[in-house]
Amino acid sequence: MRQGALTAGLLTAGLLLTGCGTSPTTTAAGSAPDTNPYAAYEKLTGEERTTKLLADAKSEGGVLDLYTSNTDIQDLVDGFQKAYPGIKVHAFRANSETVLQRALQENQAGKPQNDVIDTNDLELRALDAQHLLHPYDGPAKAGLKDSAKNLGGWTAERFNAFVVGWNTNEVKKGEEPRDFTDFADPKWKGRLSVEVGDWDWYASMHTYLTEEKGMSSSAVDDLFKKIAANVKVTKGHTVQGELLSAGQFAVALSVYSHTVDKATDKGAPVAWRPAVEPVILRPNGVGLMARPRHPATALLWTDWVLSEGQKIIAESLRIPAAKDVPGFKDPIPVGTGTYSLSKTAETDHQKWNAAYDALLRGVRAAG
Amino acid sequence: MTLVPTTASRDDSPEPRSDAVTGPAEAGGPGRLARLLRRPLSLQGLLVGGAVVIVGYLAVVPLGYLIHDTFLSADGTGVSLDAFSRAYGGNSQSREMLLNSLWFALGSAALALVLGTVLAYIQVRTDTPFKGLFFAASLVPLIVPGILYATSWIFLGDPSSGILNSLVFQPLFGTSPVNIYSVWGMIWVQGLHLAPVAFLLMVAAFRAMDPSLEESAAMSGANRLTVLRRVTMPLLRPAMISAALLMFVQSLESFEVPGLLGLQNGIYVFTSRIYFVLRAYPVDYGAAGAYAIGLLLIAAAGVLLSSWLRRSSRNFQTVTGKAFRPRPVELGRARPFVGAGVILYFLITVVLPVAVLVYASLLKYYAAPSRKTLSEMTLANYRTVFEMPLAFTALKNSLIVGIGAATAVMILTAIVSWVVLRTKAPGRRLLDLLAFTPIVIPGLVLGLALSFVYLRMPLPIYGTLLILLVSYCTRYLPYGMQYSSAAMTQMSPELEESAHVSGASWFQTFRRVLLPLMSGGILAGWVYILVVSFRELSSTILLYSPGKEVLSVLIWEQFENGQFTTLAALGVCMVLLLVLLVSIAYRLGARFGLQNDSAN
Repeated sequence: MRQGALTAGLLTAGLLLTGCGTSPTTTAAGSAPDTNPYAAYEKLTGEERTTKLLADAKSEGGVLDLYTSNTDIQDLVDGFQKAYPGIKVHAFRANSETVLQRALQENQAGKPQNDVIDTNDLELRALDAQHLLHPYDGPAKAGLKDSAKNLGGWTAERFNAFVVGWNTNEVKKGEEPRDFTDFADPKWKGRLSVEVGDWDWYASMHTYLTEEKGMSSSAVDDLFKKIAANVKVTKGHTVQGELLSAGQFAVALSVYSHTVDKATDKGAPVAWRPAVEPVILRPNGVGLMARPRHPATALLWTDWVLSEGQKIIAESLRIPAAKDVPGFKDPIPVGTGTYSLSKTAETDHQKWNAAYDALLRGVRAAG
Repeated sequence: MTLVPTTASRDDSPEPRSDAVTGPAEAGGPGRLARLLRRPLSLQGLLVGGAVVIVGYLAVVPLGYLIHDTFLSADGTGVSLDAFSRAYGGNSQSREMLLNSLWFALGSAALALVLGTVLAYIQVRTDTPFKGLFFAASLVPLIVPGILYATSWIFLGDPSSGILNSLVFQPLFGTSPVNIYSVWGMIWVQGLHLAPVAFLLMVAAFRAMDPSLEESAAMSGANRLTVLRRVTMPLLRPAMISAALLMFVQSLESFEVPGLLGLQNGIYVFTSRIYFVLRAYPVDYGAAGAYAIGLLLIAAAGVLLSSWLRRSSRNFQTVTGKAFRPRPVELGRARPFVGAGVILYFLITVVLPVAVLVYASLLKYYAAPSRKTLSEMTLANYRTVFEMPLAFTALKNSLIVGIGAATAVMILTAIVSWVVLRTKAPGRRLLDLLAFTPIVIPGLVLGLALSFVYLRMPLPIYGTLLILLVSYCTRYLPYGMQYSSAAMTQMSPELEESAHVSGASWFQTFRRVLLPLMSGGILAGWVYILVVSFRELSSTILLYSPGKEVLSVLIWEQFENGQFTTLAALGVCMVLLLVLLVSIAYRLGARFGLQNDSAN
């Protein structure tokens, strides 16, 4: 080993790595493939379609590679494997950001590993923008609500509802919150809670108040500033739900309806009805990958999730995407105003994320 | 007063003094690596060269990725510093947050260092009662995942409904003094959670220290305090510096405790910036990298400071050719008080939070203890845990990866710390620094870097357990290095020299002399890595593959959208399992000649 050899070696290794080839994150993930891997099945319907898909799925290896951020996925996997005993589902579960990053990375490297993706609308849109998804046009589409289809390369399979939940010991009967703007009242000081990462909830509420309620943008900012003075910030929806049940604060401004409903089922003193309007509906969807390794299995899964699988989604207290699901009782009371984020607001994630961050820290949003 | 009479005149310590005796040994320091690598294909040449290359490679991959993303301008054509203004400029309040972070990290590291050192001293050096409790007290806080440990403390220390306030202070004193949502609360929880890091390092250091030095000081008339201040503390400096550095940087980059406790009162820290940046899409990797590089600068200053402190102290080599047998200090009349202190510490750091977890795990939803909740307890959460379809696969994989990473890291860092501390190889400081960098790389960035590299490599690593192994080896490299070099610093080179003079090859010396003498430190590092690898999530979640799940993925699922009470049950199972594993490791260690003075 000569003078400086160790240094030189380390530096060379570093340079080789940093300098090599394409940028890790800035290149586009890819473009749509020339051939449609699903072409052989798209015209088929009914019994014929299922038989052909099942037969081909088995000859593909009888395996489905699924990437998902759906934490109730196991129920769907079990149901699917019961319906088609010959098929094994390999589910990669992670948070939605990770699912997106993983699919992007693999496609950039030209080594796609999954057939189907099941995650939140924002991530599905991001994948669709990179031409990594293939639109679903199967028979199950006819049974879906209008808001669940024609979304581009993906199809909604269920809806999550953001609601205002409260602890029934801390909020006495008759004193339940009615209107979102009430939360600016100083009587709520220290009794409200928001989650540190819920910038998409903030984007929805903000847009709702300006676009639907006709408030001026500065009035909404003012309202949120007052509300922010009353809130405690928590991290993680599970912890937030548990602290709400334990009475650590009176109201959680952004919880999932199913979190509250599951806790109520266990006897916890929490409620979200009569709902504070609006209930914010967020579609979670399923997307066929443009470059699947098992196209027939991918279609078989998607057909099933959007039809039979809807029953299982309803059982886990989520809101299914299908119009009619036997035995399903909509958790949202009839006549309650709902809202889904409009397309214009969805585009600027960075802005909303930064604005929410600034709101919670009590600083002016970056211009 | 001469601290270390037996080694004071050694001439081939890492920093030879100018008046060193000349002789054949003098060439030993600088020329060792050269001598070894002159025959690069020999066993030792391969071992040493290989270890250096692997460690360098492991550290350079994520660092290179990070630097690439941070300094490359958005259009991908040139170098730019835009990322730094996005990260630190505007309304980011980075100065306040950094100050909060530094305050929190310094406080936690100091608390943990004091606790860990005192506990280690009592454990190794005194005849205190209840030594068995130490084992649990020292490790359980490390095993409980941060999120559960912090949540337990919320249930204990909430100013209005916390158990401590409502069941202890309110009835007894009429006040509710405990507020866990303060900087002090954060320091308290983080400090207790980190104390095991210091404890493990310090136990190894105390065990490798010849008590005769303290005895001679005492014989010469120094009182106990003087001995402690003038002899014991200086000798422990390398281990203390290592521990402080690790814990300080780890607190700077952690978000569990600040996220759960600090946010409630609007105490924001530096890492909340990273958290926000990494949640958006498209992720601003440049800004995330700029934060990581900020932390890197702080960490680098810490590493340089620590090596300077080590050098400026005269000599720490306490493991010499002279045999010694640690003899416990008799506490005498103080014994019952120390015993009571041990019990108190055990109660506060282990019994209280774990009891809250056990209590929560038996409920359907958390509510403060009352007759009603006690009567409704159920084992349903444990049933859920055992019925998780992947529980056993995940346990098996966690064991494989955890044990594999712990073993690989400790072997690699034992060799590399030898290169850094015992040779004069040019670039050794850079190597030392490089091996510390993974501690500041955000887990997600590490995951992205590894998937980027291994997706493009024809080796079957991506999509297998191997990529998790690579990831854990990278993440825990800094810990391994600190544990190994703390142990290596204590050893006098005269032992290697005598082995060499007696005709032993480098490999024989390393295996038969160095490794056994370092075994205390190495085992401590191994245990640490094994334990924390069980809860590593941020890079795991991106890199694992279906069918290759590990336990932290299951914990994440419960955390993301499950029930806290099930999470608590899972946490309790993990504590039991890891306590069992660690006991086995120490028993095996004792069988293979590790000095074991714990009378448990």
